[in-house]
Amino acid sequence: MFEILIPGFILGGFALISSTGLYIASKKFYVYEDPRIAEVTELLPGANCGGCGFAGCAAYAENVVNENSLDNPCPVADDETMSQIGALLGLATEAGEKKVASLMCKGTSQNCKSVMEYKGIEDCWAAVLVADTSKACSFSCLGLGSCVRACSFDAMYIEDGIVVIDDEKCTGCGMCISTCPKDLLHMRPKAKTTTVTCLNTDRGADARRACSVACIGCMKCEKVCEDDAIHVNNFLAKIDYEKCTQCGKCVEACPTNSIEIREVTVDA
Amino acid sequence: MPKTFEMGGIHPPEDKISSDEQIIFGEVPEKLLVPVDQHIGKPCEIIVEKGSVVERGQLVAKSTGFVSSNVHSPVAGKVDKIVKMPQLGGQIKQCALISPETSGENYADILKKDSNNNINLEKLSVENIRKTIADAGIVGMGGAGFPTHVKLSPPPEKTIDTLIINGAECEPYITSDHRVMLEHAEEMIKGILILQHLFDGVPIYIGIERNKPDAIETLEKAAKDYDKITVVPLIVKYPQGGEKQLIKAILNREVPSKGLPMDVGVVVQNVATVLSIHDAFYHNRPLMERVVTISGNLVKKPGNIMLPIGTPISYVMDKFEIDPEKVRVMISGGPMMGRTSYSFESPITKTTSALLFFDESRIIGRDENPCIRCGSCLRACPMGLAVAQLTEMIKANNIASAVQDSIMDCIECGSCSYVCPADRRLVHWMRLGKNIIRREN
Amino acid sequence: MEDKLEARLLLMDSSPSGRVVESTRRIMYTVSLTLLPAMAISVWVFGWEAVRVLVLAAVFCIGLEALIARFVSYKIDFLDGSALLTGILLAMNLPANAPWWMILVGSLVAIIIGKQVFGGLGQNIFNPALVARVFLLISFPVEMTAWPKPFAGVDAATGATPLGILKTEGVGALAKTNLADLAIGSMGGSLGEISAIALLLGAAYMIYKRYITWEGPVLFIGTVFVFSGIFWLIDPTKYADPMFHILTGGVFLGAFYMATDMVTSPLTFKGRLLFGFGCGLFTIIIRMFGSYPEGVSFAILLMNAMVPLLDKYFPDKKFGMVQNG
Repeated sequence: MFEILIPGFILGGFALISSTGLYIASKKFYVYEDPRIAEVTELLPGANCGGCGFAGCAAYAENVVNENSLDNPCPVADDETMSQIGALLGLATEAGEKKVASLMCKGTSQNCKSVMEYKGIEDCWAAVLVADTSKACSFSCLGLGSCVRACSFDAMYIEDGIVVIDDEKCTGCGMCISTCPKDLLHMRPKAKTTTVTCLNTDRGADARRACSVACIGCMKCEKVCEDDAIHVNNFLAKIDYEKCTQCGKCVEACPTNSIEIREVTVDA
Repeated sequence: MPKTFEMGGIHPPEDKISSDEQIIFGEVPEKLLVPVDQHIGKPCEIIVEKGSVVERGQLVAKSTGFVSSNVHSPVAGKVDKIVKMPQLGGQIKQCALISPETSGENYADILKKDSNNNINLEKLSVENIRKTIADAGIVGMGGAGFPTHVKLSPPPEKTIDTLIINGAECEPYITSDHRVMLEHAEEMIKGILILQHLFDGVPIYIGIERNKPDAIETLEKAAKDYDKITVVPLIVKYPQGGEKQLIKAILNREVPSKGLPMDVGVVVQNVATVLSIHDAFYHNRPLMERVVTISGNLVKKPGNIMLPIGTPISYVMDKFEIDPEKVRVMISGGPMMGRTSYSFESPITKTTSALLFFDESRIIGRDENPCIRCGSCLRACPMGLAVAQLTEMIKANNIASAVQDSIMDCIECGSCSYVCPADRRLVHWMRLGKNIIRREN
Repeated sequence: MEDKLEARLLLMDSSPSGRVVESTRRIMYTVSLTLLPAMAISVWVFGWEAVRVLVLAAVFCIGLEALIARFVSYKIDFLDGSALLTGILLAMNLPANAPWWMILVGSLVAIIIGKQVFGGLGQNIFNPALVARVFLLISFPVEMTAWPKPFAGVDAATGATPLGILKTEGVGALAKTNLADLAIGSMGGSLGEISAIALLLGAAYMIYKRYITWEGPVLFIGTVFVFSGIFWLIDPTKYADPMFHILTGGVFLGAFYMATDMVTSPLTFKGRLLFGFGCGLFTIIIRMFGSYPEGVSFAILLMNAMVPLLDKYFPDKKFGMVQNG
């Protein structure tokens, strides 16, 4: 009769000893953590994209609280979130300009012909190891989507051989920038939707031969711009977003359609 | 007793269908596209411009540092323009487009016009030898294109006690080195003697795989008066032409991980390079032409041809009657390490040992199947790397572990991809991994 | 016109441009074919019942994989031969009188729990056929150990395996078995475990084709031989002789076909040596001291779990590590 109790006692004893051990360990190795770290983490977007340079939102929150500084604001969070975090920590926040990534290429299969059939690994860097380009233009987007895989926000997809960025979904974390072997992804202010969609620095005729929407460096945009905001250097136009007023004159003037106004309109 | 290296290695079908074809000479083509960079190292500086008139042997691009190499014009003519062209192997590089005055003339006649010098080896100083080789723009002609004068200038703390001449030619299809050994054995020996003089009379081994018995015989005959030159027959095994494997096979010395042949006191030179060294001294001729094997299943009459650097592939295709409509795969070099190319306008460079033309039947770019852990890649790897695991680490972006498991020792010989039953692109992943590591540093 | 232009573009890929004729399919089907002698022996010994079990297991496994292929995101090539091989190996581990539902359950366990939950071919830790066998052995001990007597026909009386006799009746009861019978396969047991010679024949071809290596099986069988030999030398009246041990209970099937399964065995040489040794050791421990008469399946599954560790801590020698080490 009592024999049945023996295993009970043994198991119970084990349980008691183990739980005591756990209790002691939790007390002994307790590390104080500022409760505000958890609160800040809670407020952050929680995508763990790494755009701030830290290994995820919690690491960023820890740094913010420990340094007691918001000099490196979360690139993803909106102004409201940042001011909430600021209020929590008693820090002032500036309303930052929201940025988005944009692709400096319009080399779709129609505009820029393929010169070969790439059969290797689906990765832009792997493709560059096989050949500098797979299209007529050596500056063009390879369309293998290394940046798409780096995007935590589902804001990019491949269409017709090039990457398309959804401005609404892009949070400006900047994680895609370094994944492009052609350096085609640049950050621009979200509100400034006028972009030069080309990085070709070849002479006009060569650029035109390679791609029908290449910037040929004809300087027409520079001439029509009233705000001194667009300049041609090395056969390539570049917009100075500090000065650009989005008048759209350069877009009209461009003979090759290599400047465009992004269709997605957003409130600043 | 024929030798070989122990670890890994494979034996792909040799397919050396052009080994009995004598080196032929073509006419100078109507246009030459001389690429400005044909070597590993610092890029050159182009010193001609549109409209410049150049002589045969005149400098087109100048080396910009120690690890850099000159480029010369193989013909007299006029520079039409400087253009960016896709190269064999896929990079886009600047080329000088030259219209030769002598187009249509047989290249053999042009070679005959070069001067003939008598060299007194004893009077050549070490600096003089290195300078002549550097000025002549000689690079490793086996494929990598590393400037030869750099290889011949080891730092003072490294003593070189052996010189190896690489005549292994382990890649399938390629026979250009084989033909050079058969037809230019005397010149090769003269070139070797210059190198021997440079290194104070070190012993010299010429490693040749046993599938070239005529080359072994010819060189043994040519070298019989020199007791320090030994021809070493090697068991046929890929990648025996890899420096580290060749040193292991001939001397049984193992180049340490991340090390260079000079760490074990050895310098390795390719046979074509040795011939160019001879030409630089005895003919005052910089590196301006090379023997190229033209082969593949679309070539009705495969052969070996001496071509000036800058010859466009389209010229070769005309000469060998290759139908451009049928070509789907074009490889510069051998099928194991050679790179695919896509433009028929790409020019021949100093490192183009072969041009192979295939139709669809050449298997490339199949879809990857799941790894079944058969271990073929581990057994095939001549560096003893755990290829299957390394590629998984790269895919998982686990770079630190890959470095720890010596991914940087990969010689990209292609043995692993070749044997993989699941069509995995192991070499490509390894190259990508090495590329990521280089970028991060 | 557009298509024609497109078709003329050259193909570009990383080197090497070419590959061996070997492929996953070829390996899987060849390994399946090497099992033909063993299958033939089982049909010879157990009659058409053996054919029924083999066909059912193969059909169930391939069918299940085809079914799963419709529901998962990754690509499954259910005709690549791996499902067929799993089916055959599962059948090899079943008695000839196994009912159809048991074969179906076994296939379900092998394909789903043994293989696909890990992510399909190449991802599984445990040998799928062995997972199924052990599952069936634990779940249906009666059906799994009611072996038909050799050459007895369909509804004949069932008997125990030699190892079963050893476990229940002791070494004295074994007097009537002779080694030649065991080697050829004239004994009770599951389909594949009975004929060592037929298995050896298939294995020899696989070693020739380099699909398997010698070191794992040799260490496995050698370890069983040595340890059972030690026990036998201590007390021959209590323990069976080592030849008996290696010829019975699927040691050959396990050593040559289960422990050499590419996916679930180590990649490195030293790893394979230790793997073989471990399999042999656990087999003997279970046979001598465990409650089951047979330990090969459990031993291999135990060692399967060790494979990642063996690969990690016993890597092959790398080139150029001499001076550095």
